[in-house]
Amino acid sequence: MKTLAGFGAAVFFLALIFSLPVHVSFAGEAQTTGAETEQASPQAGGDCRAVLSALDAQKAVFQREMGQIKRELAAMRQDMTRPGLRDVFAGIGYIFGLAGVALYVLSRGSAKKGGNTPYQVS
Amino acid sequence: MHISDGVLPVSVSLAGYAATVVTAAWSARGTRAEDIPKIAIVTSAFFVASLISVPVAVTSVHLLLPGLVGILLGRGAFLSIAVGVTLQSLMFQMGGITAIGANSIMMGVPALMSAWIFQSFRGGSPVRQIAVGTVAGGLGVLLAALFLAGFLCLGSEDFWGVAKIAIAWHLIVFCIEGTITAFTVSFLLKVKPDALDSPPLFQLGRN
Repeated sequence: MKTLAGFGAAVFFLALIFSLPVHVSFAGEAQTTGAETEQASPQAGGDCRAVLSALDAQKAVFQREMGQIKRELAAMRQDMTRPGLRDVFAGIGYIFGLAGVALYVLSRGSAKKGGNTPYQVS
Repeated sequence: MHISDGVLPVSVSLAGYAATVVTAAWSARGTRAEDIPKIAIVTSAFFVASLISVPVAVTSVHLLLPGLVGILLGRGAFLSIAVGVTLQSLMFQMGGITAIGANSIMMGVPALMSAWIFQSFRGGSPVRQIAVGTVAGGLGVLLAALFLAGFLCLGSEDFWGVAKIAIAWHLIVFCIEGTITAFTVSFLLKVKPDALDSPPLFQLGRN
């Protein structure tokens, strides 16, 4: 049962990984068809130029949005590396834990010397 | 003011670790069980204080409080700062892991020096205690800046150049820490004067 689930998970992740390059190749095909069309029929040159300028406008829009996304990514990365409230509590807990261990060790030392321990040897 | 990974040569960072272990052992010998809760609280304060950042020119520096730790803990201050620096390096990524020894010495020894200044020149009157406390608090960061310059100078940098830059960046931190120490000392004098009686650094007779 476990091996079946593991195999299924492996297949799923492989499918994810291999599906990514497929999207990239579609964009490449769109560019080459535009260039071939212009060489084939010079009468439709105006048409193609309109298409190319529309593509350029779209490219500018995408570049702006990519710039925005990159800026947000950089800001988020900086935010993530800042120490958060969780780290503060973790550190304080660690400190008090170490203090507790130190106190325990010291109390055992004094108990051996002659204090009373809970478990009396009868 | 924490030194990052890769800045110090290996020999210096190893020597820093050795010196930290020796001084921490010395510091631990002088602490009794009753002091440990106080040490824990002050270590937590030191640990968290570095999150408070003060904007200076283009970037910001953070508070350190080695002077106050020294005044409150006396001989046990080095132990507190070593633990605080280790946790700051691991949790907050302040300073590299290889530089933990050097960072502990850089802040722990000024804490011990502030402790010595406070214990020696304390006097009896509240005004004098507050004044000496302020000076010791401000001096803590100043000495730490000098130690930083010393460590970087061992890694072949110019001592006075680094010292001047470090001190210039932290001028406002001196003032803030002196103020904080003054307020803390005056508050403790009114509420619980025993808190300022920290373990002495050097006991006549047995160490």
